[in-house]
Amino acid sequence: MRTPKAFLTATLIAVLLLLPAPLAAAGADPTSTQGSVEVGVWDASTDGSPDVVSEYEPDQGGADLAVEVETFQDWGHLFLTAHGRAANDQAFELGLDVGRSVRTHTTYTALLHRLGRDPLTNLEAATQHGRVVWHTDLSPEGRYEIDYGQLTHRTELQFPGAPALTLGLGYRLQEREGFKQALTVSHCDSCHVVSQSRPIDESTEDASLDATWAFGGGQVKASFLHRELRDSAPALTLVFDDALQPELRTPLFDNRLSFDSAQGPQEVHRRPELTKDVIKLEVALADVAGFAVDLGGVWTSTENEGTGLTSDYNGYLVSATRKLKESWQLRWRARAYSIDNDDVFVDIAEPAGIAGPHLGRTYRQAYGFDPDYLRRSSLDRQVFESKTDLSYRMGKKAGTFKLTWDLESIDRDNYEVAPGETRTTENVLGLSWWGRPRKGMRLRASLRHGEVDHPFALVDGGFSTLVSPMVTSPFAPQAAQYFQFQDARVAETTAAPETWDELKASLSQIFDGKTLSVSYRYWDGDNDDGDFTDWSRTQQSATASLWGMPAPRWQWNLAYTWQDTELGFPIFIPIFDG
Amino acid sequence: MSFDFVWTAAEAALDSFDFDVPAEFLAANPNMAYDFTRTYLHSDLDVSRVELGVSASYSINDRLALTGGYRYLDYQDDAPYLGDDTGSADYYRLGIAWSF
Repeated sequence: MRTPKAFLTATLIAVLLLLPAPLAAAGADPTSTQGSVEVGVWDASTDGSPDVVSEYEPDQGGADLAVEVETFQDWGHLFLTAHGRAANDQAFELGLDVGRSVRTHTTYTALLHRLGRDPLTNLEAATQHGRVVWHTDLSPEGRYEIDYGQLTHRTELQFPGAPALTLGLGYRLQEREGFKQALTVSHCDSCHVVSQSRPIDESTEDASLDATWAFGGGQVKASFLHRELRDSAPALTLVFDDALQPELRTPLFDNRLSFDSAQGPQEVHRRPELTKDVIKLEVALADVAGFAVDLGGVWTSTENEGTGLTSDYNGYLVSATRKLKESWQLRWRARAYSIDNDDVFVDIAEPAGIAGPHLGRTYRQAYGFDPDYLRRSSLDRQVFESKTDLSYRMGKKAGTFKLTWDLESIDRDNYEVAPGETRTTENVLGLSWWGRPRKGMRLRASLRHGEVDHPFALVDGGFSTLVSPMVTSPFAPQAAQYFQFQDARVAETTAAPETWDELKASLSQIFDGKTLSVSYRYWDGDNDDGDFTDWSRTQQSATASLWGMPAPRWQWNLAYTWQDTELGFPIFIPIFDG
Repeated sequence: MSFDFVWTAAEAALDSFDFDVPAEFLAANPNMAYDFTRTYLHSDLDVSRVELGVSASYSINDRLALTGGYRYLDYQDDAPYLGDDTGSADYYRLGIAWSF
């Protein structure tokens, strides 16, 4: 971690230079400064795989340093905690308050994350007719782990002559360095999975500026953030396998793939570099016709530095809360936002056949199929969300009832969720209760029911009605092609419910210095809205925990969690080659 | 002195399942064996983890103390699939602390 190390070192030096002043002042008032410094060594030994048992810890040993300092002086307050035992195992926090006019907070965290390795040994199989799946590991001795580091800093300025105004400056740097396992697939001659070690050298850097003005009836806050994501590690390259007919092993399939060995090394696992700007405006008003009102706007623009493509988000939110009468409270929260992504034309590489009946012809020339397309993002949408709740408090023992109504409408610009329909609308009604019916006991129960018009689905996502005739060769004129099977699909496939119900209940009871907590959740939903749509899911979960503290310095805890899921969905297997 | 001990265990599995395929279809298509009777065995979790920690501090005087600690971690994978992540680790620490 280059920049964080330099920053950390500079800050530690600055603190050590500053420390003598408060420590000297401590002589006049010894209770205003306290702290500790601990110097030591550590070591570790491992047996078997460290990937899970020491997933976030180094094991090479070394020095172990810890510092804690806190001082209260006439000029303000300073605190520092720092602990490090390796370059990738550190925690640092520095807070400084000078006369309540300058307030800073800085943290730095470094940790190791072991990622483990997929041995790919399951990718070794063959069919009766000789179709093969197999793997190659180009880095059999590679260690996959990431060194993660994050530096955060925030300074707030509040000038004596303008106490209502607070200026904020923020900075964040997140870095990831190491290696991860990258997989690529060659297709057609076989399913050949290749594993390589992909270097990671990534940084995400934020700089922000904000201003808050507080007044008698509320406050206004405006902020701007600029973010840059950079990846300094080069992309990997791969020479894809020669495109061969998978059973005959003959060079007949070159025009069915965009890339094979003839195109030489191809760039794979490229990671994008991004720039993002975020503008926010927040207004809090304490009393608008009796309501406490919060208003906000968020405008975001993200650009892929490599392609020049942009994604824009514009969002607005409002919340209003007030007590209607004694024991009655009404709250309403709403959000409206839009997402807009650039269109992009995808020009598919179309090599010509090098042998056989398609010699010299592309797949398009042989079958009239155009693989190029204009990508209009399925994320482009206008969304409206509304949450309304009305609560009535009957008393501490009798508890509080709450009635809720949640509405969500998602209208997609370029994606149909049902034939001719782009909008999904969900209404959720809920009833909940919580209270303390007896001393030491808390009870909570809730029931929700959801109804969805046109839930998210893939139109014509399955069940091809095409039955291809028996053929002796894939090049026979009557042999059906994959795009023909795709075009003949008629089923709407989904994993989203059309209706659903949820029941939740929980209890906690304090007794004899112990706390018992139990909870249960039941969820059931299904969808048979579209053509051949038949999806259902039932989930249950329960947890129980018991905590005890027999003495001031001794505590124990037992916990058990259970989950059960039943999932129902149709599968469709195409009848291929007769 | 302080002492801590944590033991966790997790088990998860799929119930067996198969798909209904008409017998006459299977008879007419002997090369297509839609047999998923063993598929559920490829999703099976049976792991346990133990963490044991001890730390102590001995005061030499009002400001100086000797500190030490030991941690033992053990992870058992009793249903390994493809790779076995079973492993254990011992961590040792010794230091001297100055308070002011």
